Amino acid sequence: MGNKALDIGPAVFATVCAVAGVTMFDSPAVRTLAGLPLIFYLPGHAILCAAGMNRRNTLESIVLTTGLSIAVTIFCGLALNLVGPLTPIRWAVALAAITLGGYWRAQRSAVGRDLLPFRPLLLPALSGKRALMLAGSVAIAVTAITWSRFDAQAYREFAFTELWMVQEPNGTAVTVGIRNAERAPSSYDLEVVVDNHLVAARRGIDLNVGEKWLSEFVWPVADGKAHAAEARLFKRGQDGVVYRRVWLHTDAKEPRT
Amino acid sequence: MFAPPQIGSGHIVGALVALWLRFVAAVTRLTRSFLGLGQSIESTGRARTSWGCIPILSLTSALALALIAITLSPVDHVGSWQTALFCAGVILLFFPLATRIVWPSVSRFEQIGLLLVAIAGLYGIKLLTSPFGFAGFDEFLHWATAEDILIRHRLFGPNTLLPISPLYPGLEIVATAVVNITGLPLFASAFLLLAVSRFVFIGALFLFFETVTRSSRLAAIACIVYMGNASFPLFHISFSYESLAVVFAVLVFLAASRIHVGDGDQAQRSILLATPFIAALAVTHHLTAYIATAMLALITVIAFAGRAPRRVCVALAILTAMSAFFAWSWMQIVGNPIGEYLGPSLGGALSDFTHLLTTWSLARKPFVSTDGSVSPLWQRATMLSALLLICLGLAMGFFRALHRAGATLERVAGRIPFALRWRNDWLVFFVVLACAFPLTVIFRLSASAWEIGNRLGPHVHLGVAPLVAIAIAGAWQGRSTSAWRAMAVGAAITVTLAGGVFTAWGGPVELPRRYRVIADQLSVEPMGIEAAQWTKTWLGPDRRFVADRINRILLTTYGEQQVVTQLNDEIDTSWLLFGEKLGSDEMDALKEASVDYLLIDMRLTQALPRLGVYFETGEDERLHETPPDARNLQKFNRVPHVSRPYDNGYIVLYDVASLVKRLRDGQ
Repeated sequence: MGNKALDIGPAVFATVCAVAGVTMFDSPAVRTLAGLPLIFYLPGHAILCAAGMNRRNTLESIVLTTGLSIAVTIFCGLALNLVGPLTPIRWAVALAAITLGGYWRAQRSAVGRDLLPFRPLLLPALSGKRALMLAGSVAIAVTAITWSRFDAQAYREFAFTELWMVQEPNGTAVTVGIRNAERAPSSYDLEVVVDNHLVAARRGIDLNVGEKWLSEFVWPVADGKAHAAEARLFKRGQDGVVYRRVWLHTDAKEPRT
Repeated sequence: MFAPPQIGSGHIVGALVALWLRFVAAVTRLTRSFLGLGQSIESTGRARTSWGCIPILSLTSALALALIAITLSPVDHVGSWQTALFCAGVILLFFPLATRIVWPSVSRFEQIGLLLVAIAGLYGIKLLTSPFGFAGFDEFLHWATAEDILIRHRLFGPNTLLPISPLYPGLEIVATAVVNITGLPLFASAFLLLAVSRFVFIGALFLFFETVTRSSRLAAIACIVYMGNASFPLFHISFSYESLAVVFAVLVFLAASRIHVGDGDQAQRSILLATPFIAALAVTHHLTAYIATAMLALITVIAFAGRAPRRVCVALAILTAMSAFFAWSWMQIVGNPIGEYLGPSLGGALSDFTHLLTTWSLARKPFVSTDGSVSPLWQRATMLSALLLICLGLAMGFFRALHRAGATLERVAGRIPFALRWRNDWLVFFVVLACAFPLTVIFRLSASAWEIGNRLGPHVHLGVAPLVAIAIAGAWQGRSTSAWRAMAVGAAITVTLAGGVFTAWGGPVELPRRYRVIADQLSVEPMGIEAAQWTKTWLGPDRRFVADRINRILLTTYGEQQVVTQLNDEIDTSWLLFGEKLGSDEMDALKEASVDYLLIDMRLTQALPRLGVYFETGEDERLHETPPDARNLQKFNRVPHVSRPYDNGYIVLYDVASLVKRLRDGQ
């Protein structure tokens, strides 16, 4: 009995750590380290142990364990959905319960006698030079992928300026916004017209790339009439040409929310 | 005196006959050699377990990935060399790996390691093509389902983009479980899940092939050949339910293949092991579950026909019945939506296929996208060469595989005096499966059936890959330790892998990558994403939108909006956007769909859609005659009671809620 307890001890300890990590920490790094085995390894391993099908840490064992863990996670999700919402704590408790149940069953079962749950993989010896090559390849691949993400996100195929006008929920004002997504800082002029009357004008709105400008204008909603408001944006250097145009129509008696 | 022999006509005829017989014998010898008839089985080679070339080939693969990263960048870093360097990167990635894998004496440990390096390299390419997160169209569909699960903490919520997706939630359950357990964002969680599932897949595939062929060398070669199927490089690494389903399918086959090894207890254990994978497959993807059932039925029939031991036949029959039962049961539980979903596609495919067979005119031009763009010559040549090499491998592997399976023709009593007998049911299964390969190629020549050919491809490749591997290990490389020969074979495999990558690309490889109209990955770029995010910030979620195919997926995922689709709402909104004026049909569509906003993307006027549709499959063909007129797209500028709350110069939003309200009120 003592030997069996020793075999399963690390797996049980990892399960408890996973539950603790998921329920007690907010840090994704901690939760990832603690929690990933709970989805991709431990449930499958526990069930294979319980069924007496666990073998040493061969490719077959790893593949079946991981595949089975993913399958178990699916069944667990379906079952959880029947009894309540799928929350982190419920997930952790459910997966841990399956895992611990499996190990308990393996302990009680006679087929669990020759289990070697956490026997490490027997890898061939690796020289320092080769280890360096492997580490270097991982570093190069990770750097290449990370760089490509930043490189692509920094590149903007389309240079544009956003102009918008939305009514406030209470219907008493409109918000006009401008965002510069051009390739260079830009200067803008803005006119707001209500029922063909200029009600506001802002000159020289200077925005850096990615910068946003917001302003609220009072909306004459209480007079019982329908209104139309229009915002016209002019970009410096393109005199007289309306660069962007947005408008709102509302029924004054029933302002939209 | 020497007298010259008299040559009579009899001598000439005799000489000609002798020559002819020698010619026939030579041709027969060559044919037998080509087909491998009666030849001994290839060397399987044994080597001491070591890291071998794994470290150095990891390094070359990482460098290849770096090269590919530079060339896939939207920024023009290397000028006109971009495409050439991309190809160099692909060659640098695959060629050394393939050359080493075909080598006769590589240890099993090294073979597995090299396969993992190859799969990591392919996964790297996938990540490089998705710099903004999810990029493939199908990924957005399943992202929407997963996001819904995360928001509502419940399964089976609605998905307007793909209503069937929440009903097969296996992938999304695991992805959201990772989010819940780790606290990582969905994309990172999906990335982890897909990486793990890829490694499980290739591990299971290797073990499956190894169990059947009893050779780790053949298994490794078969795996690398399998990676050349067009679905493998990008589609099966995407966040799509099929990606996880194929993992379960291979695990089922692995468990099933073990039935033949060992005694009755082993058969029981195999059934026990396969059961959770069959059940998980049934709730993950409908089509893969049906195809897996059909394949299990096929191996059962082969086992019965080959007079396999009774325990084997019974165990396989049980697995087949179980697979059919789980797939059918789940379909009933979720409300049998399959016919509705697959029916039109299958109907269209059948019609196209019949048209193809009766008229011999292609409904789809190979290498030409719907927008008229043609793949460059080098790309076409690579894809065609890949196809030819696979065909050559099949031709040379067919009889070798049968020979390896112990297939013999036996004289028997009865109406048919001969009977085919074999010992290895699974190898015969591979041979039968490979016979469907030409069909998948023909399907790809049809517009509607293309999808079916594409979906069947990876499953048929389960048979194709081992046959080609047997040809490689038996003839192309054989027992030879010639480095040149290994390099030639490595080059051939590289061509098949590159052909797979280029086919998976879904159109011409144009670098640097630029926006294209309705080209899925190429159409997803920051401006569209930011417009969708704007709607969530300023309009709030769950508004009803009408938009094109690309902006629909962006609005649903980044914007958390509801989109109107023909698939979900059964309302065609295409002419609402593209029509010259607003007629009664368009007004009815607005009213019935309860539309709040229209999103107009003026970039649609630039070209015809690369993927054949502006909105969704089955839309009016007249939409594809010319790109939409800009004036038609802007017609809402002139419609009363329609507001225009957002404009970025390319994308414009129209608020039609007030108009719809008036239409409802009958004003």
